Amino acid sequence: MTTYLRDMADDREAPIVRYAKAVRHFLGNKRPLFPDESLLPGTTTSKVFGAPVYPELTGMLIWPELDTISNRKDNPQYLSPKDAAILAHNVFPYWMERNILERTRKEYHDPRCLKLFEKLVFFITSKPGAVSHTIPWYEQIITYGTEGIMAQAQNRQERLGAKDNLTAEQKAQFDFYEAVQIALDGVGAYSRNLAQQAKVLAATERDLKQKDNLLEMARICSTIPMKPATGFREALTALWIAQIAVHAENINMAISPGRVDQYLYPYYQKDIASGVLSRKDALELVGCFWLKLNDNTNLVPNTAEKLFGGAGSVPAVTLGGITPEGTDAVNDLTWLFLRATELLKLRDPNVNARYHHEVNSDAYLERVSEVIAETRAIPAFHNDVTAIRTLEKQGIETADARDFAIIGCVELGSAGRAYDMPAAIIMNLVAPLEMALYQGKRPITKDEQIGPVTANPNEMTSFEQFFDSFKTQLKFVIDEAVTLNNSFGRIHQETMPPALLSALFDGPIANGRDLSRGGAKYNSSGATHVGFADVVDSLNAIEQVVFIDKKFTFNELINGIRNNFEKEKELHAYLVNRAPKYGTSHPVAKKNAQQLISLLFQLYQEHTNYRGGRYRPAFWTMTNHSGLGKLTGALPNGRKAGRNFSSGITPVSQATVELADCLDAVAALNSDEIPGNVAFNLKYTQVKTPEESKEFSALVKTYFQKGGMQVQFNIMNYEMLIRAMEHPEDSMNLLVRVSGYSAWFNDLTRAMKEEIVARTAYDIIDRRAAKYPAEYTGLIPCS
Amino acid sequence: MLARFMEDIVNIILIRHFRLKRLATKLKNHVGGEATEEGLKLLLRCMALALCVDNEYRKNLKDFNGRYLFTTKKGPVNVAATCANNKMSVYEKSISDFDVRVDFSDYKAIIDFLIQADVDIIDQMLNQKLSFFGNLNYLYKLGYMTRHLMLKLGIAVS
Repeated sequence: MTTYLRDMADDREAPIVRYAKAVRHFLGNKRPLFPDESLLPGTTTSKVFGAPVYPELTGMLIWPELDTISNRKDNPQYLSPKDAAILAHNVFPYWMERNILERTRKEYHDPRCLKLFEKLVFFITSKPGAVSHTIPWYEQIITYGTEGIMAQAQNRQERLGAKDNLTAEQKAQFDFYEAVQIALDGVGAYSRNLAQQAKVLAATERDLKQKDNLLEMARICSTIPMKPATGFREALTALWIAQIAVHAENINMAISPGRVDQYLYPYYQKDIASGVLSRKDALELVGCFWLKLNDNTNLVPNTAEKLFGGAGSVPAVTLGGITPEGTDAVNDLTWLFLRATELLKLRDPNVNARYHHEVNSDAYLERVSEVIAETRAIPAFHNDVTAIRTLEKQGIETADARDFAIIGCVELGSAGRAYDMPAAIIMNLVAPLEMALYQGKRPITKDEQIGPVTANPNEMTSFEQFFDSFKTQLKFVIDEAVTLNNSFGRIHQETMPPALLSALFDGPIANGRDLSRGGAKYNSSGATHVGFADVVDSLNAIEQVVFIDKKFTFNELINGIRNNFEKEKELHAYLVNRAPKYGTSHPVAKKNAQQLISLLFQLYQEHTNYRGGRYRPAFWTMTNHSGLGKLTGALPNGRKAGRNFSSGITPVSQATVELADCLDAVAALNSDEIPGNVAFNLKYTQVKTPEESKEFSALVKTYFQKGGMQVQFNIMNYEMLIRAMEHPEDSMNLLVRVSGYSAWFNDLTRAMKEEIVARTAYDIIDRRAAKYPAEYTGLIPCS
Repeated sequence: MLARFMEDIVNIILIRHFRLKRLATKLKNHVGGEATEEGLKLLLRCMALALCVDNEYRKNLKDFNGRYLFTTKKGPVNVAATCANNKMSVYEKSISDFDVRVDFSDYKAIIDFLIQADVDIIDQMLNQKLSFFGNLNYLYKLGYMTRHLMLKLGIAVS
């Protein structure tokens, strides 16, 4: 890409055409690799397992680490000295003034919102990574082939007429259609190179089975994905090559294949019916696809391991649920995908099971539960009823809402129609809480006046006054984050519009606009939140302890926080034992949790993004809750300085004893006001016996009937996790749910491992928290 | 080849290799002692000399014009570096028109920046030990050049 843009591009061309040509150049010259005996061709990177570098987006982050990234302590990523030198001297220098971040800084004169972002402890916006976190409409390429889509674009371009006679808007459409054809031509070039290479390899292959495999891939790649797929293997190959190609243009962050068991099913059904495919062969193909989706990971700087530790590229696949017509969508392919998940136990893809308690069968619910129990972590469960309703309330047509799939971690999107960018903002909710406590300042940024100077808490006479201050600070940081995200988005529109991905979406070709300009049928941006439970419990503590019980003054509370409760033992004990906790049935806790949900919904929905869509709040945290927790002082809920925050929407670890209360509290949150979805982590000590399995499924069903949106599990007890933490060599393949995605336990930072250990583990039969090991009490946030 | 030969001669005449070795020893001693602004000055002088004597390292300056200013929140460091015409110059004064101004929280943060092979700039930003004004990529480039040099001189620790 850099070679083309630096040495070969014509700067007079429209950016979308120039960038499409760079994509075509890249794909046309991409090495066609067959690194193993997979039934699917090609690789995302030039390595068997690699991390693509996107210098135009976020790749520059690793520049300082080029000499050390191979040997760093957490998740080393091998980079040869030769490749490091190429990046340092030939690639990165070109992008110094040109990547999205610096273009934005220059265009908007280093705005306040960017400075706040670069402190990294208020909010993070992922838009410097341009388009990510979305579900392409891969059905399009499977059904019509690249040539079919190119013909659509060409037809519309010709209908516009000669370019010289067009208006500015029509010229932009003309260029867009041109760019679509150019980028798709690159996909064909890559596939033809794969076909050629497969033939070359087959000629010298001695293993007859592998020789046949290579010849079959050569046959398929000579026409797929250029022409429509006719069978299951062709469809899967088209999907995989499209996934590779999309990553030439867009960063490998949660580009999600969507409802694979739905759009691949007609091909599977046809091949099974005609006898050309057996279930066994299909399972092998699916297994190869699962492994292929694991062939790449994000290139991240050392510190990112604290905030996004152990993550792969998180391509999400979604299974089951209901069809656009409202009928049961579970089919034979759903079972096959579940079987592959169970057998392979992989970090990626992020497998998600939709469940509609009124439509899907108990057999399906029980089978998904069984796979979770077997893998201890995957898939995650999503409630069809709440997800569809919340999307409908966001203006998504019913059939499109029913066709939702999961993006990345847990986010909801109408598959192939909605460009939702649900990870646009990661907001640290503890920041506005501290700013309300310290009149617009935070301990970590010392004397710097960050937000508005709100009222002195010591002079407040009611909880409502404090909540007003919190609201003021929250609005301030949200406004800043939204302003920055929109600025990044506009720069992205102007410099690197994604023609290829736009061609694989419902909307852009009909609208004549690429995705970054709002070409998709639906548009939104998302903001997720770190520290939800910690903030709710802090609000609870302030309301109950200071204003209702009047046991301690606000001044005493703030002094206790400042001193990390070193001397204020009585205060700390009262906060921990007497203040209401989110995750229980206490009315103050329930009120404050819902009040915060409603406030966030209202504040975000007031904003419009640069594509004309609304902002949607969500609650998942990756490992930000651990990384940011380590940097934050004590909080009013009794959490000590440097302790982890709670993950996703999950109550604070060890704060709630009764499982039923915990499930009810989370399910009670108004899902209509959480259109981005939640990550709710639940830990069970074990699910082994028939009684435990039955209870497992029953609890999921009841939680969903009560309105719960999502739940994900770690089926592991304290002892097992502690053993894995202390003896990593004995736990090489322990897969855990983090907060949205799965990770190998050994890949996580020590802090994140401690967070997973400290999460409340419930005994599923007696429905109470299991006894926590006393020697690890120091890991509990509020201990 | 001739240019390279001539350059080697100039390096010998100006005893640059010797000066670099001496400065590197001073820098190594400094990072083990009390944190002061001297460490940054020594680093930049080492860097400027290394860029003169090491062809590979000098590739970092190819077509690169950059102006760096360094400060601490506890007081001015008054150290600046400019890169132009394949040469780095170090100044013990403030400069205007910088591409990036690097603000360290204190002298200790400068030392951390210098010696820790596995500390990255983002981590220092996250911990509020380092902030900047200007183009972040210039800072990344400096981070790479620093790390590369410190590893080469055997000063960085991992």
